[in-house]
Amino acid sequence: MRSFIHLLAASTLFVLAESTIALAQSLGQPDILKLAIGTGNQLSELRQADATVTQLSRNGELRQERPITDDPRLPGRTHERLRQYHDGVPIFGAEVTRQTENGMTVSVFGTLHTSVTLDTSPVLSPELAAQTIERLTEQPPGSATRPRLVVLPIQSQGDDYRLVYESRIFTGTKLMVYFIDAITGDIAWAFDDLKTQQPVLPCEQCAIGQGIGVQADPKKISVTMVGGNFLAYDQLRPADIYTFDMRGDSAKTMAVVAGAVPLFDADLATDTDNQWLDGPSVDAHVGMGWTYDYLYRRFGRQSLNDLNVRLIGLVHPIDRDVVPTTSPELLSLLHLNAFYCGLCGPDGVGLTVFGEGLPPNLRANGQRVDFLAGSLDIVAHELAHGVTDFTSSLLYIDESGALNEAFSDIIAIGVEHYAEPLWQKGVGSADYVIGEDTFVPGGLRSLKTPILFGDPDHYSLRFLGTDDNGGVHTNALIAGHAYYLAIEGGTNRVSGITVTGVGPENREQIEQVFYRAFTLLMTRDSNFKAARAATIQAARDLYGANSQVELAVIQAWTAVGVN
Amino acid sequence: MQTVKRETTCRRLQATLALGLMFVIVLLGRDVSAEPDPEPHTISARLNFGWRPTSRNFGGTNVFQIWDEPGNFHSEYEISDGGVTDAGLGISTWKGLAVGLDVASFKSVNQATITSKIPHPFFFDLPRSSNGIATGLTRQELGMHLQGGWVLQPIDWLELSLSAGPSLINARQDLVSMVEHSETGFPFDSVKFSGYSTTTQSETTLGWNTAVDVRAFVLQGMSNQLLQRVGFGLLLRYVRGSVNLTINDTPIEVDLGGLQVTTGVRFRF
Repeated sequence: MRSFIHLLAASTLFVLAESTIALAQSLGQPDILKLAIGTGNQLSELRQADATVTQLSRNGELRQERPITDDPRLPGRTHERLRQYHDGVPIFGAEVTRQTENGMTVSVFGTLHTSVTLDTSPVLSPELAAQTIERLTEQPPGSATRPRLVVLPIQSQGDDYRLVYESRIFTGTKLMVYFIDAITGDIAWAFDDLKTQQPVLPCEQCAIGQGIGVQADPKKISVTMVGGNFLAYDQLRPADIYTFDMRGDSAKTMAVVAGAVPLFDADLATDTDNQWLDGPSVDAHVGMGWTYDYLYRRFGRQSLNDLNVRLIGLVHPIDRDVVPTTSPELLSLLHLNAFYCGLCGPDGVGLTVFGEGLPPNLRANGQRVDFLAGSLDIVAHELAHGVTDFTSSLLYIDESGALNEAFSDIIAIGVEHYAEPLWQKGVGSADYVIGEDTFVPGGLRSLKTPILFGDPDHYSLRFLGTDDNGGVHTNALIAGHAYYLAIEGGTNRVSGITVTGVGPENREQIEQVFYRAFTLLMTRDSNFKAARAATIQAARDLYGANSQVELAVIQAWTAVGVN
Repeated sequence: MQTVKRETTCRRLQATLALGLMFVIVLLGRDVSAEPDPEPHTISARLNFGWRPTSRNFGGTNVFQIWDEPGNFHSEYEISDGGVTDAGLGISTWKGLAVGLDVASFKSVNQATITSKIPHPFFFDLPRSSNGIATGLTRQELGMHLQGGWVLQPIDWLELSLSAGPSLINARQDLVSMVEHSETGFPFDSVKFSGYSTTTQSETTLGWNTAVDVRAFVLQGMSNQLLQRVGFGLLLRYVRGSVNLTINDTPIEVDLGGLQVTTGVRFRF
């Protein structure tokens, strides 16, 4: 099952020219158009791609996935995201983004399938598909989301397509996405979509308290006063932010994540005198708020979905002291990890769980592991997965999965630099290391020097195995290192290519470029090559062709071997 | 800058009045220099109305706690000129020496400029600033001025007294005690000044005064005995004192007094 995605990646060609499209259509063969066309391409290529998109839209094959949105930074520009359908059934992974300026197309990115011939009448009912999934995962009836029909490209079987039901189910330790063949009832494909960290005073009840974080750093905390108690419920920001204290009850935590158990006010982290001393509760709550602030101030984004969806964080998901008896899965998930689950939670619109870490006398890989909420970059990283879910929806596997992780790392670094002056008395400091406040000594990953943690700093060194969804965490550092080089400059260890960065004082330029590319231009199966093209296009959009920013981005990708 | 300009204006006014007074004395003295020395009068009384042209500024900072962090507001008060009512009694003792007691009242209605620093609800050390104006702030001063001095009588109908002495001054001042702001909402980068509260502070202090009083009894040649004792005069008095007013335990030093220019009726017996 996994092999199909690799073949998909291997077979993806940047077929840009009119002749190629025409050839695919005339031969009637299954074909894939990987579009990455912007202002750097020939005008004729852009026109051809635009014509193709327009024609497919008229035919009803391409449909708007979301309403056309105005560009948040460039007046006159709009963005649309279109999903491809075959006989009214969406084709998995087939979508394009189109950027226009005053009616003229500026860029087109995405993937289109030009020769799908498939009967879209299912034999299996959705109910049977759901039962199949629940039986396979030993979950109770009603656990799986309602299956929906999709066309799944299966390149490993002679460039074929299968009619499948797509459904998600939380198994207790994984958020599995299953594709059940709608004809035979077989499992066509499955992957784990759990994004893990490692392999409003205008209201009467609003109150501001002071909290002490995991690092013993004082912070202001926006809470709600109810009946003389203070609850970790922030109403001062446009998006409500909740921090729930699971009080070490791992069974309840998993039930909440699965949506089987609701959350009540009594589950919120609480304090009696508004001088909060529980570090994980403070850091999770404040960190989510600061991440919201960063997204708003830097990009004008209002929460993860840009519509102020509420944020939920769970702390103390398991008792620290049960480590010796806990299962390896729970140890990995609830002690050593933080994760964002997009469909989880009471109302199914996402929540983040912050791991409990290990008791001080235990080590993991030689590192002490503190509460994961204690690292602002970990908090921001997880929430950034939510941004991805609501924008490009980068598939959490292989190169697109690595880009999904890379974007979270990039946002995490951005939030940390944004927040550096906000820490009192300089307690916090910004860097390019992820998780250094939790995984001591060292951290988890370094965008500056990936090799320190055994991660690739060049595309030629990318992990090609199947572990960790195809190495999404380790391969993320290829893009993360490019991001670092575009800002700070420097020489890539492998290629020896030197990059002239925009400088740390201009870091916002590169943040804007990557944010634009990842949220507006890229699609769910974008690979590194598409990321390079999208970020270059974003640099041109924002700062002009041949600008220092564009040159820095081009040099950075070239330096890490992505051409 | 504005304060310096105002003080310069006051000094010019004081100098002009002093020169004018000297001119009047010289002029009147020349006209009646042939008159014989009059009988000394032992008691004199006066009732004056006039103006205190002096403007003064003072300011104070109040500290308060909001959003789990200290905030503050600074009020800069401008005490403008205002009306003065003065009544007094003097007694000549020996060889032109005299003692006297005056009661003077001053009142003006003023405004204060308020500059606030309001802590951010989410972050330490990122205060938001706001500006506002408080109006209708009353300053009242009631002074009892004990005086000792000399009375010169160059001619029968003209008296000039020079005096100085301690003053007991009671000051009542409206002060801004609290400011109100409304949050403009997320991201809470600014606040809007929306109001203020005032409190009245009253304190009494010991100061000093010095005065020049020119009295002219031009009706003394009339047959009516009462009119013979009535005259008019011009009083220049400079009063100085200071009090410490407090708001929320924060002391604010306030200067009192200034030059008073009044004119009115005089009686001598």
